[in-house]
Amino acid sequence: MTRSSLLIAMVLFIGMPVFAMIRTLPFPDLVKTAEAILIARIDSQEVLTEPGKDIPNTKTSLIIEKVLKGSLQANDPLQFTTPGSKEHPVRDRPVFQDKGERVLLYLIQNKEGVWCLNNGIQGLWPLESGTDKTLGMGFNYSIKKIEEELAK
Amino acid sequence: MKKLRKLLVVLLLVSSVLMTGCDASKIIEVIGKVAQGVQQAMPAIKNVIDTFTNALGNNDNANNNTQQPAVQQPAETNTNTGANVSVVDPNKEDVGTGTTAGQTGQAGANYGTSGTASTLAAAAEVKAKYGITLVNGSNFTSNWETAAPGAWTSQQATAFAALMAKIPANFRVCTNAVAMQLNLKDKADGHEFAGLGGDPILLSSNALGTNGYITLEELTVHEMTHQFQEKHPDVENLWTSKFWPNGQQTRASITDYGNTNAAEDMAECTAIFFMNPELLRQQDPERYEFVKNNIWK
Repeated sequence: MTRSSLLIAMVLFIGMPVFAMIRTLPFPDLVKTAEAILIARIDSQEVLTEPGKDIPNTKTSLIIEKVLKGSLQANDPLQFTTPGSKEHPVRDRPVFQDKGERVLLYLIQNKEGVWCLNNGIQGLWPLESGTDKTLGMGFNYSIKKIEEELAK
Repeated sequence: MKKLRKLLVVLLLVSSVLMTGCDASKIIEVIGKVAQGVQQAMPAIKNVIDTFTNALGNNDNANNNTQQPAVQQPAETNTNTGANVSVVDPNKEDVGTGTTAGQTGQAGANYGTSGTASTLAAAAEVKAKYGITLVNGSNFTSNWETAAPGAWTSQQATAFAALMAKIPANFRVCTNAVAMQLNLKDKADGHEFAGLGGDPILLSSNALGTNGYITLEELTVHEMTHQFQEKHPDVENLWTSKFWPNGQQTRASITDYGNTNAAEDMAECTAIFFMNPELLRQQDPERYEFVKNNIWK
């Protein structure tokens, strides 16, 4: 398979509202309903400004490092476009850290077959710089706990 | 006045004697019933007198009135006026001036919606007492979310009125209107929200009730906390510096969702403070004290 065929275009607006309150999935359900769970490294970021729009979007490209669940493969590229930028952050939208940082992602495919975060912001767990400590809604969990849940 | 009272007492005794044929026990019974009737009628009589007194411009006794007035209390002064809702461009984006987001430099989408004020009696009570409009929400689409039309049920509006009675005024006045939608969904993948902050606050009736996953009380207090943050950025900034220095949380929030960022952490802790204060006090005394001393007062 060529690299281009592996390109998985995940161009979507990961819509999370300002001051939202989501339905938090219990941890076992989050793991169970995710079609893919993986660890990825942020490869690059680009701020996209559209004429007439106050808020830019940020395109984040990632490289998969490790797959915990699903058919995606290590080294597959991923790409997300999210509302806001570091200069104009949109509150409560999933935010990818800087280039070189790592994230743990829970993914599902929408009706069009595009990969999305499972349950919005709950599906993006930043990893602490230099460690595998899960942050965000994963603060009370760990990669080990995910692996244990998957083994059940 | 004293002579009049004496005369009334004499008349009461005479009439009692005539009615009972000098039976002492019956006289006492009649007097007791008359006194009881007068006592029960006093508040209404007093209100009538007050009404006439006020109409005549005599407010000398106004500050001495400890009874509940029969007339409706004036609504609390809300920090937002014009509670009747609102048609705002749902795609309008408001970049971080601090007007829609407490955290400096953050942008917030404007969640204006169109809807009509509920005509339920409990909704009228909420409006009259607290200045908050309960809105039957209509179709709504923003850049990122959609909402289907919904309407307050009598049970929901009654529960909301009861909730408002338990909330401190300083917290309550930050909210202007609350719209009930059938649902709230993400446009990209369709995942559901329970509520969206803003003016009006949007609630999903699908999230509530026996078939839902959260109570009206918990969800409302959570979203109202975001309105509080908007009006009190100093308190939010204090929370952030205390529990999220340099954007990193020092320890876990009270819920998983509270771990997403400082604002949600504060909203979740305030909701739990209301729903189960002992849980918050035991799990995180410092956050408990913060809410108690800076938000819930």
